[in-house]
Amino acid sequence: MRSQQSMKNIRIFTIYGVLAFFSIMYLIPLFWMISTSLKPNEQVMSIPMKWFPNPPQWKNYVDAVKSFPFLRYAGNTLFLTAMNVIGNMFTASLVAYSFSKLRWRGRDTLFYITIATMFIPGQVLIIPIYILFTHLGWVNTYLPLIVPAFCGGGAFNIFLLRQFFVSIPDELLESARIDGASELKIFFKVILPLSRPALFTVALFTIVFTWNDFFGPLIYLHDPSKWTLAIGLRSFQQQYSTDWNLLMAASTLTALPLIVLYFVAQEKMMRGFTLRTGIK
Amino acid sequence: MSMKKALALMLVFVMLLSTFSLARATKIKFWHMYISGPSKDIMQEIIADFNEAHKGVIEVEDLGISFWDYWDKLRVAMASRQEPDVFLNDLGNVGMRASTGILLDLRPYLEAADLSPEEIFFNGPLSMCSYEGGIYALPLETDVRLLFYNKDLFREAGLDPEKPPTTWEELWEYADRITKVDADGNYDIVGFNPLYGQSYFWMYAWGNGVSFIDENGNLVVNSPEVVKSLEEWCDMINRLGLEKLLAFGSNFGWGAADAFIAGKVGMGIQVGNMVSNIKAYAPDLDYGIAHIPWPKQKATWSNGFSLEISSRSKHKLAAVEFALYLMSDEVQLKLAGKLSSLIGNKRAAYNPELMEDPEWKMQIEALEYTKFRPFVLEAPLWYMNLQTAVEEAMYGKKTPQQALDDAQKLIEADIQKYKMTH
Repeated sequence: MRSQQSMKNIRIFTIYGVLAFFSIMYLIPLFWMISTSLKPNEQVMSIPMKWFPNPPQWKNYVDAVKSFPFLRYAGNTLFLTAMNVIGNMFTASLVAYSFSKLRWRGRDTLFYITIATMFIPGQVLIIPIYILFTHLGWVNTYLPLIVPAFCGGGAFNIFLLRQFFVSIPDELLESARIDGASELKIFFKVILPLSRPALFTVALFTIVFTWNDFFGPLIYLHDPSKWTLAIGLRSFQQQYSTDWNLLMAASTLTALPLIVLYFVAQEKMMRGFTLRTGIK
Repeated sequence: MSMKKALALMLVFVMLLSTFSLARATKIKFWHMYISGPSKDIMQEIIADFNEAHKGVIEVEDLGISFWDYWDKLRVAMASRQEPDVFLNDLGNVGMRASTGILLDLRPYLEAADLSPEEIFFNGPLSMCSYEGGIYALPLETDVRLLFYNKDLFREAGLDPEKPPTTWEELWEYADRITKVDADGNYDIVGFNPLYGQSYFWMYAWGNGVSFIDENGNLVVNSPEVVKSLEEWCDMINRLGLEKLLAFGSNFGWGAADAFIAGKVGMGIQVGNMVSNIKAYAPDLDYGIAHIPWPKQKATWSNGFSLEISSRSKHKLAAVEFALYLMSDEVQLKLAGKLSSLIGNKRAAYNPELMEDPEWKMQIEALEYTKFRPFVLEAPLWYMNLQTAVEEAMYGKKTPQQALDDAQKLIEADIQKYKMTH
């Protein structure tokens, strides 16, 4: 009995030890970012390494926010993120519904073609898409960064939602149909409420991607007042020098919303990953 | 009316117009990398001055992008035929763009404005802007590499701090006296570190009188002279011990952690801009700048940023007007010392006040003999093959001869490929 208990203890101890080790490993960059953000510039690269800034320079945060229009860029980033979340959640779920619950000719073929688009490397599309947006007169507007989200929301999101919708029993839909519900009504009243965890995952992926997206805003936006945080962060890096402390201060502020979001949404996100329907 | 006269008249017309604010201003776009520090402030002032002087006629809309992202943005824009009217680019490969017709030939405009490029600009940078008789860019910014040496370490070793070495024999003699090894046999101070900073094999080869272009105009990286230089280069590294040098180098980084700034390198080759880093991170460091030792001839390597105008620009005259303004003596004088490197306008660079600064003077002297990596249209990135060969030989993976032979084969294959596709 006792030895069994102690075996169990050792096992738990080992598991927790390994987990703690890896979490610390993953936390070091985050810690280093925050630590650097509070150092004076000459301590940033000093040897031996300084783990804790002494004394902490809170002024770095003020300087970082002042060195580019931080609030404006944060607002722009928030706007783009919100639009992409709305676009992706709405259109990807509509497409996924059609791919999973409606029967029409060529449905599966089209689904596979959609999935296949994920295999095209993004780099080869940059210039053709840029030319397309140029002809539409959309360069230097937010449209190239928003409209695509309203056109299906990307193959991955469609795939994710479709797999989730497939696991929702058809009987539920049948009974709704018998009660006289239209397809759209079924979609809004039955499918979407049941798919919250999956939708949540799509939203989270979209938030993280759009919030950190650098290349899109870089090539499409020529007007600095339209720029996003990811581009603003670059203003600390020049050819031969970088203000690491300010860069890290601004990066900390930029990453903060995502970190907070993660803690708030942790549980729901995990449920989304496991792709359970929530129907008992 | 000749082309030259017509252009001259048009330029005069544009200038005249600028005295009246009549029509709506012609807007031109200018992309650059001056986004922070003194270079940003001065560039904003210069653009504002231009816009003020051309009110109602030309308005420059500028956009500054970080050096690290600039190339992506410009490349996508160019490929989509959406490049700005005036933009900065890499001075090292102007010919690549000139050959495609994307750049405006500025020679007629310079002639029309009665400007002689040979008189205004330094030879080296100007040669990089020229392609098949035309001038497709203006040398806005350039740089040189020089020998930086620590005077305190010179004194400690009993050397005269005012007499930097002029030959490699001298350099190694000094270096050996400066070098300090700790109890474990590792370097504490390295007298001369050939792997530090901006030290490149091609500079050493040029100093040996080697040319990478043979008498027929072909690129040759495996001539007996190059092989001999690479053997010497490897001997230099080996006498210090590659592994020990790498271990030493890994202790250092950038800024305050730079090995020279930290006082751990007696002599090292750096770009002129190092001066401002020393000012920022080690204002008390007693150091000197000298020409890189020359076995046969003085040599250093330059590169920089060119100012280019799109041949597709709808406002060529206005764009030229602005570009010439940026290259004018007055504006270049304002830019001197504010950019991360040197200016391309020779007349401004030789300004007596600037020349009073010995560090500036030394850099300008070097600009007169500096070399650029030869531009080869069929293999513009040939020097990367050379660099790989240098590393292979240094790490002992191949003999210098074998490494350079292989590099030559790769370069020739690139040239063949180009010829087959063009």
